[in-house]
Amino acid sequence: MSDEAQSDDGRGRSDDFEIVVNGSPVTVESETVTYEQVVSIAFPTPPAPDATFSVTFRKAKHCEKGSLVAGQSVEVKKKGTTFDVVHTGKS
Amino acid sequence: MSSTLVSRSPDLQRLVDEGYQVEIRASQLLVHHVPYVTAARAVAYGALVSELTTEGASTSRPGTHELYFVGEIPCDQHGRELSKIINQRGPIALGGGLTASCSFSSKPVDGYPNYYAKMTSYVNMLQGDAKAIDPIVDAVNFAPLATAEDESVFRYLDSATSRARIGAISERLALTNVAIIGLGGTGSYILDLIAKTPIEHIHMFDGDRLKTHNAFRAPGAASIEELTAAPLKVDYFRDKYSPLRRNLHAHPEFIHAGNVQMLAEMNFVFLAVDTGPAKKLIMEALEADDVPFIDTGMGLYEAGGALGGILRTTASTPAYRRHIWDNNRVSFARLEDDEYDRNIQVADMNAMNAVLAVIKWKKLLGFYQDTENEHSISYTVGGNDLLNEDFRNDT
Repeated sequence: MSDEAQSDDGRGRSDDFEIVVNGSPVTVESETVTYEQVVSIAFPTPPAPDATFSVTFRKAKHCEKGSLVAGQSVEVKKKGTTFDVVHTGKS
Repeated sequence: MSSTLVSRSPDLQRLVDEGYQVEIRASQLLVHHVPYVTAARAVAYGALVSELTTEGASTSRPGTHELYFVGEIPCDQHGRELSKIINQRGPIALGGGLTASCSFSSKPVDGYPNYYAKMTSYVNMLQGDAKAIDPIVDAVNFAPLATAEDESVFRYLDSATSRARIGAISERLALTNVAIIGLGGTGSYILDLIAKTPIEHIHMFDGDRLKTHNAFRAPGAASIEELTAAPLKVDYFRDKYSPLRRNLHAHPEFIHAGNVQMLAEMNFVFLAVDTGPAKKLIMEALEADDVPFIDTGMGLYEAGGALGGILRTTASTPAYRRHIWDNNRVSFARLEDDEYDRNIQVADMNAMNAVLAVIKWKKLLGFYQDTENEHSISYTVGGNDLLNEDFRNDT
């Protein structure tokens, strides 16, 4: 399990990675981003204890598009890898 | 009997597919709406009435080259009777309450080979002069051919399928019982699509009433009067789609432990409910009864003044169902209404989710190609990305 993501505090370190989560840019320190990480970025307070989320991404380092389930991760580009994290529960 | 006869007789089916107004009445073949010219040099419409020779369940060669005409004595564009073809003069009583003014006799060298040739030949003998007066008139009007209760689930012949000649492929969709659980935005669009397929019985489950905001996420257009009446959703949709097809069953109830056994008789189930404990109950029951199903769900959010999010379509069949549990494809948690859950849904998103579900259903039944056998589908609107996962052929 990787470290929790850091939100951008303006230090702009050269080894940071900029991703987008649900439309908002976020800075993370590791090239490897996990399902748990993006879920906690999108939902800092878990909306329900047993909620699971659909996570899709595009423009990752090795992969044009894909999805993550719990326990999975993906390598991101320096800038531009975009994630959507939602609870796909409405019909 | 008559629409079966039509579907089994290429000559009759061709008349229908090309848009002639065909009727079979009292064992006679009628073509209505045939333009002709009266003695007063006006354009009128009449009907051709022919005997109908059948062998078994389909037509055979016409028994005679003659037929009858219901209308005034037809003339050419100058008002002179078409004496070359007029044979008997009436009134002549026919079956089915019809009275002919005359009969026609125009025989090609070897007779008419089939009823398409026979009827269109006489149509052209009459309408040519009518078109000289008014070029727009035509016997072809694509009028609907009504069906009898036991003939078809549709109230009028599905000429879309027959014209495209995909009848055999469409038959794959003729399941006996299909259920839609939830007639909200996505469920109502699923109904709109599957109502047009030859499923025998469509069962709709939803305990809610139709409210004004629902109208903005449903196919068609509810009126103020309809919304004011606050009908049960299942009743509203049954009534809306009944003009097209029979066997729409309205079940004004939510699925719970006490009634979930009703789903055991279904051949396929579409789940279009908001997430909650009921969804898990339903899925476990469907799995226990070996019923295939497709679940839909969306999540939309607002960011930077625009909406983004994901539509999810998840298929499960007796041959492949572990992915839902192993990969947590479906959430069973109910999110409380808070800043995370404004319940943003938009009609086009509901429709897209429904379309993906119905396409996947048709792929499972062999109507569409299904070369990769994906069972989990997501659509991410921001990147316009369609993603497929959980492939049944995976080793």
